[in-house]
Amino acid sequence: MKRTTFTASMLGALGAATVATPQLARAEDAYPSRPITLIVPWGPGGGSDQVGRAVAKNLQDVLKGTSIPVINVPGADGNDGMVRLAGGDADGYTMVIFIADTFVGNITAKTPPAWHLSDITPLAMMNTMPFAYYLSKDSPYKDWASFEKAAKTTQMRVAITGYGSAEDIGTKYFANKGGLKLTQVAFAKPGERYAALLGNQVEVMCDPIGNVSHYVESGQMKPICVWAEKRLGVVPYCPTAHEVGYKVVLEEWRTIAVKAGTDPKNVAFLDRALASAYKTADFQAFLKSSWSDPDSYVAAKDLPAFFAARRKDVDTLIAATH
Amino acid sequence: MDVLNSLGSGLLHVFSLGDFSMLLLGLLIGMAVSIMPGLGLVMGVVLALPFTYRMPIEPAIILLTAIYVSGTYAGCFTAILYRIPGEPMDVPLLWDGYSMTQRGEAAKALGWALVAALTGGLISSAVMVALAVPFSNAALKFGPPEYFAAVFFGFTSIAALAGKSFVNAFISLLIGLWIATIGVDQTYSAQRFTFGMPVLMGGLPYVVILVGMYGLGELISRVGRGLPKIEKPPDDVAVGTSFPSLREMWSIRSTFIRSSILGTILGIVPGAGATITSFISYGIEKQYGKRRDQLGKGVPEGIVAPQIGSTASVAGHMIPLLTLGLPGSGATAVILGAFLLHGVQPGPLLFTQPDSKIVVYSILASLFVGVIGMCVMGFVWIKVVVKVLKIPQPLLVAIVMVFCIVGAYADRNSMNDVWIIVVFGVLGFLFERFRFPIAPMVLGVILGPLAESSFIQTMVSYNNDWTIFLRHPISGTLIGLSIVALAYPLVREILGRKPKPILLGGES
Repeated sequence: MKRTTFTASMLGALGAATVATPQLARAEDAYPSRPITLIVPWGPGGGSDQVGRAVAKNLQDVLKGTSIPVINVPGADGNDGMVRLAGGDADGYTMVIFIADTFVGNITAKTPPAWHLSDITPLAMMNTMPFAYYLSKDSPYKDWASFEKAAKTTQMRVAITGYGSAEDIGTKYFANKGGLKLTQVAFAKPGERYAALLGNQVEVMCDPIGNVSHYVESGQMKPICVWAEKRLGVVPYCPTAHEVGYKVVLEEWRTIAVKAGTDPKNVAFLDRALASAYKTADFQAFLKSSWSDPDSYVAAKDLPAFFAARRKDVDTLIAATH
Repeated sequence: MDVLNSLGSGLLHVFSLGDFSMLLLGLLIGMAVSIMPGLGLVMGVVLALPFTYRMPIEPAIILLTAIYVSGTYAGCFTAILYRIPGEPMDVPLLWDGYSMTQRGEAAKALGWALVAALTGGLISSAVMVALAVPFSNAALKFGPPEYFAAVFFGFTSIAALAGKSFVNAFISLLIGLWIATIGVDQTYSAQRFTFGMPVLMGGLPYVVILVGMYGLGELISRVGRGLPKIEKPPDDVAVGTSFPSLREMWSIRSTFIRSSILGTILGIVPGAGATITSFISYGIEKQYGKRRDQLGKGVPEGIVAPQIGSTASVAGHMIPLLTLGLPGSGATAVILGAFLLHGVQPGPLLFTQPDSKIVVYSILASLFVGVIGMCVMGFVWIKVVVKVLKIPQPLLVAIVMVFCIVGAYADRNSMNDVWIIVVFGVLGFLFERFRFPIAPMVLGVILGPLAESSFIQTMVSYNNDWTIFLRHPISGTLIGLSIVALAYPLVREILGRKPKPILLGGES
């Protein structure tokens, strides 16, 4: 007797859940039937980790009932996490955050990493923010023009994350195009990079704008040139690279991807879910607070073209420096 | 004043539910591991590390710091009462402590140890708080050459201080530095020693190396030696604590002051862990103390000097860790690991931003609360705490083994890490077997990448001019100190003076 009531109540609960489930989940009959893991190929606390957690939280709200656990698999400039995805099953239960650093590193690496761009199917671009150059508050230069003028004659040190990164090839382009004496100094950890600029160990630093927003707000760092075509709403006073004569657009971008070969139905499902997650008020607030581009979103169908365009940009930049 | 304000808000944080429960838990764990022979405080901190993956950073660091600080104290109970030193640092205590117990003054001896731990802990914590901001301001001026010189100094002093054989310590350090190069290098993305294996491309995670060398390796050694039969503590020893009178304390005030200063300063020196500090503190007492001839026969100075030394070294070690991100001992290396796992790089920037500043000051405040807390616990629960000795050894080994393996897996959710920990466990066992100190190797693994990147940054920034290391005042001084640290053992060898034997069962 007890058992029947239990089963009945379970069935009742199930029925209620089905009724309450939104349009989205009913379009699929079985998928997703268990948690979908999101791999963040970077350590906790960094920019990509924050984006990953914001995506997971809002995706969970959209999917109502499917949980999205986030695991950090840091190492080898994001390649460890990508290898983890590429080595798993293409069943739609593992996603990864695939970002510009990993993309550019994959192109410039002297030894090819253990995974290939064709191993992944991108789902959505969730976050973009341009790179910029910054001076510290006690720098003798006050803006791009005065820095550029001095850099034609004096050696300037530029803090970047590593050689072969987007910051590196962009800076090479600046040095070549403007005849600037720039020496890239690599600081792999963000904290080291910021301390180097604030402690005046380097004259200028290159980083995505959102990662240093609190330093810019508190006046410790001053953006002097943002690598974009249009000025940013968050720092309207900062000129763009295009304005000062450098045709470079490089941004930090972060996409969500699954393993290539995943069932197209599931890909389409996740694509729609991510689009809804992107639109939630909570995710929009996150984009705002992290100084991301307000229209970062790129849908799955447009991403291959985006990658191809970025690939071309990187190749052009590299070609321009040889 | 700003410092006191920040410390006040830090104190409020410490008394929040999450932080405070972790603090109490940490104190208890620290006491338990430091009483059990063979489970050192480093092992305690290592075992707790995997449990902090999912915690916010503040309670995580407070937990580990509490284990560290109370681990320097509770070992004195068993050393004084039963002549069982729970940690190598408690060995000097035992000479005078156990002599007092034999005279029926056990309670008095425990009282002296408590007062000493309290004094050493509070004085050095106060010094630490006072020095933290000036240190971090100086640290902001640290560029790549200074960082390289600081790490280089750390390496030389670790090698000079760790253990009997300078040569073995040096070999151990170099093995650590070599292991640090495995993987894709962070500057030029070149592959080194990877043999094309994906497992090695990401480098070897130092958390797994720490847990493997300090945890698993130690266990394998113990099982290999045969588990010691720890005699059940005799029940006829009255376990209680009675405080020395103010007059008695006043009479040995110079010991208190000398050992507190010594402990804090030695703590700042990389490589001088609590054990070394404890021995040196006792040695200084033996040479300069008022009653040096009676030392070892059961005088309070023999308890006070080493106990203050070992507890004071904790706060001393926290200064370079928080302001420069440089660990100088096994335990601080693990705490650094916890910081990095939470995506926080300890360094001068911690003191410049409001949200990280409060975390730092909560950690500093937790040391004060922790020192007082451990003394209160030691006073009230000593009877309960010494019962830890009754846990059967085989059971203990099995439990710790499980913790090590699970901890290795949990860091990156990877089975590869489980194999890596086994390899390092065996390596740790071999180190122990052939008398190679583990601490230099572990610090080599952790600081190696920093040494390398700061060296390359210096070379790039200053157009390959290596004399810059000698021309900058701070780095020049540190390089000079390093040369002294390197020359000292050699000079000692040449002069043929046998150094005082320093027993190092483990490094804390």
